[in-house]
Amino acid sequence: MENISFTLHRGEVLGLSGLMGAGRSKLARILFGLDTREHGEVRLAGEALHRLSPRHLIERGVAFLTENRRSEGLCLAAAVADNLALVTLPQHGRTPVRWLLRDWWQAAVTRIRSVVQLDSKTSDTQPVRTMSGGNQQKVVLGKWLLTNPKVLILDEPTRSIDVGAKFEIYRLIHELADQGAGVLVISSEMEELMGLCDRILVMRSGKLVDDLPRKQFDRERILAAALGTKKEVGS
Amino acid sequence: MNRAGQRLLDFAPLLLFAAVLAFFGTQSEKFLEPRNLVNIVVQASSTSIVAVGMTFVLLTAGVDLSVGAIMFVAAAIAGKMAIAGWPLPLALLVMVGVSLVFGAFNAFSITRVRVAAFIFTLATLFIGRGLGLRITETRALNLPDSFLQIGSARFLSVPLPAWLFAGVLILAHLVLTRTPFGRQIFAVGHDVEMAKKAGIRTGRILAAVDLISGVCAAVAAMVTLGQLGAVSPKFGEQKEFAAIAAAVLGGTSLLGGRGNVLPGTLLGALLIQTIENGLVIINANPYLYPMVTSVVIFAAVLLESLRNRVK
Repeated sequence: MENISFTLHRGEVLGLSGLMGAGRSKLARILFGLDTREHGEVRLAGEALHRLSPRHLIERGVAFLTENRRSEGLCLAAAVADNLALVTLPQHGRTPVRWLLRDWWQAAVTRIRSVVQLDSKTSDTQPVRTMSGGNQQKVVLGKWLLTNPKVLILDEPTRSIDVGAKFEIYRLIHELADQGAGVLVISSEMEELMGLCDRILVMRSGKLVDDLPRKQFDRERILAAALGTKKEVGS
Repeated sequence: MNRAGQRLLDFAPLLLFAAVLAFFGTQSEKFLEPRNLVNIVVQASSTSIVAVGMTFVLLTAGVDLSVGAIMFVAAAIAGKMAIAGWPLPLALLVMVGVSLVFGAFNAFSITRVRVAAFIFTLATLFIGRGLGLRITETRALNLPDSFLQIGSARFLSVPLPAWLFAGVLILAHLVLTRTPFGRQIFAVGHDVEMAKKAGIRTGRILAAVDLISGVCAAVAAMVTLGQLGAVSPKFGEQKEFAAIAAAVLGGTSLLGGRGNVLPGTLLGALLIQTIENGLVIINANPYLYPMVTSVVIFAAVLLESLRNRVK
């Protein structure tokens, strides 16, 4: 991958389009510190980040929903409540007294359940593996929403989940953007990106090849850029 | 497997316990006397405390084979100090200090050098055993009465070791179920890589459980010293296996991420101690003991494998 430069603005939903293997997931993983980069700079609110590691980024309000929710996003054997509270645990109860009064935990879990509209038939104590794909994805998203992210990176957030859950996730993305967060969405479904995003970037074999604002959204142009059948626009 | 089977597995340790009590109860009248039952709890306390530390390590999918050796070294050093006339509280403090050094040694190697816990703590076991034998010159140390006095001292008519025992269990239970640290232990045990992606400081968690396991070994050594008043060259030997068996019998998974201290590990430790006590009471052939131990370990492993099949 080389020569990639882009800005994600506050309150913006930015789509990342391209074919499989174009480097979209790789880019997201680098941004979250899961994969290493040779050089290049990442800035958050104008401040250059020297160390990219999940923990540092989470502390700064970055969240990343990976494309493999079952293997990377969830403790499948653990309870729903445990999965929801996982990332926010260290922020809670730094004092021993608060530790033992578990109300904060239960309150957070109950609140986020209603935010992500988790199926009310599911209980907090049931293992996540017993849930449907859509509900599992809502748990992963809920886990990250609890951190009040300023930047949310979503890799294929609606893959293999039911239509109802898809729309819930679109709604949550818009809500978050309305609250001022920047959202980067990777998706292989072009209609999804065109419906969801304010701007779409297109990647092809490790390079950024196009950048379209909403007004210029055009299936043909995005496809051409992704396939490389048309002259490249922008950088 | 169906839901009923799962329930049965959940209650398996309890059923086993009941069966063991019933068996020895019919074999000897003395067995079910309150005095003997209290005795079982007192005898189980040191194994239980080690097993609590072991539970923490097992929950992260690790293992600590050095706990028995840590008990030995800590007891040997404290014993030497006590014989040389050092004050008792200082000797106890040094025991904790020694256990922390060994725990930190394990933690450093496992998290930084990244060697397998199973092999590395085995190495620590031999280091500890060797050091302990050097310190005691392979002789039994008979300690001043002060140790036995704390062993039999009572607070609100309950023996001090029993308070320590209860304290460790309750504290461990609260830490595991109610603190962010405790929940992170489970997450690390489920999947270290996933835990890292959730921003958990996995290295710290892994290091912390080794330290906890070490300190639990030191506390168990104190309790044992209070009961025996002596350090023999076999002090703490094979405690690691009793501890692992107790934890696993109680439902803690060797694969990490699943288990509990209350009631699981406590029940496992009581079960093991009850069998040992019962064999003595019914005057069983001593050559039978290792066979019975093997049956206990087999039962633990069988339960573990059945549980893994269910979940």
